[in-house]
Amino acid sequence: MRKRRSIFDILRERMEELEAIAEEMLDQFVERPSWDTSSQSLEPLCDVSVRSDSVIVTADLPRVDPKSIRVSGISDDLIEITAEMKVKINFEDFGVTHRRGEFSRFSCRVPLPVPVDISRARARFRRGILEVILPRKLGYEIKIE
Amino acid sequence: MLEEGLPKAPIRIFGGEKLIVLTSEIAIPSSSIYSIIEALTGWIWKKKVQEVFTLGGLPVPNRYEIEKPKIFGAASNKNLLERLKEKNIQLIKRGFLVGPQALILSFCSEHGIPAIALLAECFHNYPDPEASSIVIQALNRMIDMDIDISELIEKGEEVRLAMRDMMRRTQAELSRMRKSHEYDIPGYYIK
Repeated sequence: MRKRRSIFDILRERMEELEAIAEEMLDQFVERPSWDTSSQSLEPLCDVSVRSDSVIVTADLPRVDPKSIRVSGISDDLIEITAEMKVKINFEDFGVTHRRGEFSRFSCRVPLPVPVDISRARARFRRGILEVILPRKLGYEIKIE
Repeated sequence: MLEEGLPKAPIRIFGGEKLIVLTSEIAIPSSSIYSIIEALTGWIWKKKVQEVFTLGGLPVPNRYEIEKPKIFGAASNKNLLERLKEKNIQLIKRGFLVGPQALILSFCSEHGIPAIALLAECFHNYPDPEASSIVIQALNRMIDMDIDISELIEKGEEVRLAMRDMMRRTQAELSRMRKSHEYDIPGYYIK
């Protein structure tokens, strides 16, 4: 007769599978350059946090002209952030002399984990950090008896 | 790590007569933090280091609303806690600490090596030169030094640009080491 596996073995296997998936997702995020010389753009550091009523996206945008910041909705779960730098920067400014190219802007597309109502979004820029508050799309409300 | 065309270790120890400084050019992979800190503590013990300071940040979700980050401290023994209080550094009395600072404190405590952790309120995911300057100011008070922080503040935006890729790697490692555990409110305490 086949030996039955214990619940702990099954749980451990499931956990290992989940961890492997999480690792893979993290690696995809990191394993490419954070810059693109053809479009002269750097990818800013971004963060997405989901609240009960909104999604908050922040991006670190040092040395940008605040007036040049643009946030646009590509779809209800994808936004694009772009901003022009006050002064161009090149590899040599980071002490790197074996690569060629300069950067004049920040650009990134941020996928959102839940759909949002982009028309009601608000944004502010403080201390070099952009904060975009995107209200989540409303669902059907269930009445409490 | 290549510097001026020559290979250098990404994690390096710089030594002077009075101070030894350990610093890293890379985000230390979370899977090797334990063994690195364990080996480091053994080395510190052999060197008969008088006191260890570990510098870091205390992530706060509303960092951009904070004008001047506050400084906090924790230590490997009770006498050191008194010294922190004397210098007006508030203690982290109860809560979770995750990562190298946590391991340095606990290994040093086990080996009887005096160790102090200094942590300033900071962004959890962005380089924070302002928070770094607060930590260095606290270190200055603790060891009667005068490390200049003006450049760190004046060139804050350049620092944030230069640290962008290292922070990107650090973000990934922080998720792997479950840094968010630090936000958790410990149980078993009812007032």
